[in-house]
Amino acid sequence: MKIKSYQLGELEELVLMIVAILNEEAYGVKVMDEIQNQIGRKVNISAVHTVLDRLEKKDFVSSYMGGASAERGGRRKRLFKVTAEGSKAITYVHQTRNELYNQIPKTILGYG
Amino acid sequence: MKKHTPPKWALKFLQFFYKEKYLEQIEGDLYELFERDGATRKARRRFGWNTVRFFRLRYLKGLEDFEQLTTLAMIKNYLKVAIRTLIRQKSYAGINIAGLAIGLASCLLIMMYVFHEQSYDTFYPEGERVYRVANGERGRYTPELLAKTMMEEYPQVEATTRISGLWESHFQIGNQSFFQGGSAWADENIFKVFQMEFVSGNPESAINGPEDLVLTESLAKKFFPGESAIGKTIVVDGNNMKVTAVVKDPPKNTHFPFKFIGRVWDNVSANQNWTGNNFWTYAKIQPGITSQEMNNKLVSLYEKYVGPQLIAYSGHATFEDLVEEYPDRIYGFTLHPLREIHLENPHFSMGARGDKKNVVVFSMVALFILLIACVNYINMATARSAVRSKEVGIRKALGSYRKNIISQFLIESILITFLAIILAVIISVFSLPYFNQLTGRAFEISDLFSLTNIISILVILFIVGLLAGGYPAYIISNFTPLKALRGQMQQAGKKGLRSGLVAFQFAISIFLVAATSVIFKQVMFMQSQDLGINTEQTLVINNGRQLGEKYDVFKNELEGLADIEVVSKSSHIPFHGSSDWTYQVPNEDNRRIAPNNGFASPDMEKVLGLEIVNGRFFEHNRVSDSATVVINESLVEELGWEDPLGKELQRPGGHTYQVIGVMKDFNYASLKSEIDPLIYRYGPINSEVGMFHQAYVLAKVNTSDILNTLNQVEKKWNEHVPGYPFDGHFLDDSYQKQYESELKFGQVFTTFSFLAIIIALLGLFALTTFVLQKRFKEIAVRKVLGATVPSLLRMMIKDFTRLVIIGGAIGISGAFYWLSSWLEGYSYRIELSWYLLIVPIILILLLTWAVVSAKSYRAAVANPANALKEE
Repeated sequence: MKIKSYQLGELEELVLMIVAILNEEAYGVKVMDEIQNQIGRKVNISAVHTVLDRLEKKDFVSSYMGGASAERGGRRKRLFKVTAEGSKAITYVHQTRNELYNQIPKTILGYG
Repeated sequence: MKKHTPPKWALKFLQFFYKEKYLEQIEGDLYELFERDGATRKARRRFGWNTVRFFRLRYLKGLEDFEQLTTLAMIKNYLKVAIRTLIRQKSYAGINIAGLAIGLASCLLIMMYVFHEQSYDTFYPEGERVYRVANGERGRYTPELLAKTMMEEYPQVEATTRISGLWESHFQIGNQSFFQGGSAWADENIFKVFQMEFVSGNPESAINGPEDLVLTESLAKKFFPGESAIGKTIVVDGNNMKVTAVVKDPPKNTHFPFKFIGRVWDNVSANQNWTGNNFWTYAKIQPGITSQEMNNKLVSLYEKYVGPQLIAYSGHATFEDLVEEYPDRIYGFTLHPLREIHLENPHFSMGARGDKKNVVVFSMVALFILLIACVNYINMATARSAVRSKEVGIRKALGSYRKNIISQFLIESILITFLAIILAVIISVFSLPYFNQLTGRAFEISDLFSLTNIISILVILFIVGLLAGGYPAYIISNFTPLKALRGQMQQAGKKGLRSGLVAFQFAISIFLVAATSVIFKQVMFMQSQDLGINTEQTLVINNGRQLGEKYDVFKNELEGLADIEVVSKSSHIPFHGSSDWTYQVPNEDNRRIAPNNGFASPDMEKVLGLEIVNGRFFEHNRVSDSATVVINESLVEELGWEDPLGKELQRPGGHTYQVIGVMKDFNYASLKSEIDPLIYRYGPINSEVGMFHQAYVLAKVNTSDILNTLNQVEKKWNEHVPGYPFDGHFLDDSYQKQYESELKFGQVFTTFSFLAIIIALLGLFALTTFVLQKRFKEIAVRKVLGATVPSLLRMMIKDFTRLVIIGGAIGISGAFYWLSSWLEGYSYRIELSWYLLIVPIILILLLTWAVVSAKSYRAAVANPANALKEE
């Protein structure tokens, strides 16, 4: 039997991992900053929201409203955390990548 | 540094468009970024930009997010309920929509026709200042000098033109030779009056010389495909002409559908002739000048130029004397707006003639049919309302206001109308060819979807939806919820009103059927009238003057053919117009008469089967006959002569002619008019009129193989007139042609009365169904108590019979009133007999009985136990 495949886009994969790293502290701006800090990639805030919504729709993350802060003009944060399904997805993606990576002849990777 | 705040518009934008659910997080993130950017001007810009980037479908508010717009949500619900109701009651909805669709389709087609008729000649720029100049009040033909003189005398006149047309011309291009219709001959100012669009060439110099020729685009493409027509030579009626310009084809809705324009001839102007009226004059007047002002001026122009020539001719001392003697006549020229020619003055038209009567009748019929369809809808909806009473009860119990219920049912009726309109458009598209035949116009499918039509459709959608839906909605919304929920049947609307509406439908149907039968009866009557001459098997050959001197040879050769009995020639033929000439009676103070004048050869008597009641007709080889005339009984009566033979008639200032015979009156024009006085003069030798007397050659044929005879005649023609096509027709065809408009009129009535009856019967069918539903228990009880099937059917039929009779009485009185005035337009007409008016009632009655009993039969034969077992 084929194992369930997890269809994830590149940015989706990235955002999902960032949400996992941030561990219940993930929200729009934070995710955006983290992507820039860790990978050096600039992403627009609206794109981050879109990806987060999509992940939530796919049940890989869940969200709840957090506390308000003054710098946010009194608006609350929407905090995201990874669901069990999300964790499986991360593992699956990681494993398949590794498997593929391991099959590459070492010569090609240049270590002789 | 100044601290900025996020742009207000962006916040408003977010709050207006974005779902509550997403709003807070988006705003929050944007604020956070804004603060982090230092609340600078740049941050502000970024805030705005990001707001716009968040504009995604997912975040936008849906209908459910507008709490203040409950009505919108309700409309959604009403539509849902309406669609479900329609699906549940398929046959009811089907009948309703079909009936409305037929009504709307007729309406749609007729509207298109009416708009088209009113759009004639509206496309010429500045056309509102262009007028047709009439001789007197309505005369079509005007003197040659009028256009030029108006231009010279009055600064108020911007441009004038003189036109002769439309004719058929003989074209020769290379070695091809054929007739081309739509030929117009005009002076060089025509393009100042009618601003046409030039494809090539120049309006200033297009027809300055007699060889100049202006073609329409379609002709230019047909004759010279793929190359420029400019400079090409065409032989028109024997003259070499050169194409100088090409103009766009005039659209369909014009009174002047020319195909090409040439330079008009100026032959009479040297004589300063103001009494020969041969041309059509158009004038464009300066802005701000009314036609009435011009008409007043033209009276003095008439007096100045036409007056002296008129009195020279009439023998009066002064123009005033003449006016005094005939005060009823109009002396002057009058202006008539170009755009009103088609409907108000169709006799001015060179192409299709409009008919105001047709437009009015068509519009009325369209309105009638739409009314019948609406009445159907109202009847069915109110009758059906009993079924919906529970729904209304629940809605009211749950807090519906009355106006909610009303709008619900209105929306339902607008939905039905909308579906009906879609069906109506499909019906119109398919019936367009037939409609074209009916109206004698050439509409295309694209004409159906013109802007005006689409707007009118939408207007009709709302009017019909509100009109037909309004009353039922009012009635239904009146239900008391308590009674409705207890399952009590509520009387929906007044029975009297519903019956009244059905009677009204019958009245319209019966009116239309009666009109149809009378119109056809009249047409048949005219067609079968004894004309006093024999038109059968009479071949008419046009362009007889092309034969010239060869006529006699041609005649002898034709008479040598086995199928041809006798051949004659004439200046006029029956049913093709006539011209009145002035004569005076020299022995009776030069009393003037104006009979129709024609020239005939001796054989005309045999060809037409003329009946000579007194004296004789012309004879061959009697040279003296050129000074004789044969007159008809009607002229004898006008002159009041006891013994007409030997009496003399004189052309003013011309020859004197002796009466040698009297013909029995025969119809040489339409039966709409009485037989007018007629003079026949002996044609062959008269040189005064050139070859005029030989315009037509008539041959009496006796054959069963008409095609073969025609071929033989054509062969002979080609031998004598090579290069000029043979053009012939049969006289009885042209007789029938005169009644084409009546036939069309009759067809219109047949079509629409048929439609009206169908719609009415559909309504009747639905209504019977509901009556039966309401009375099924009553019928069962009656049956148990011993009623027979026929007696039950009679009971059902009785109500409807009464309605047919009431409607019939109304419809027939209307028909009688209208038809008697219609028949007054015909000198020879049928009597409006009682059976012509009773037959439609009987017809409708039989149809009603058939529908009602067919529908009731099932209920009548059903087992009463089934109806009574539930209570």
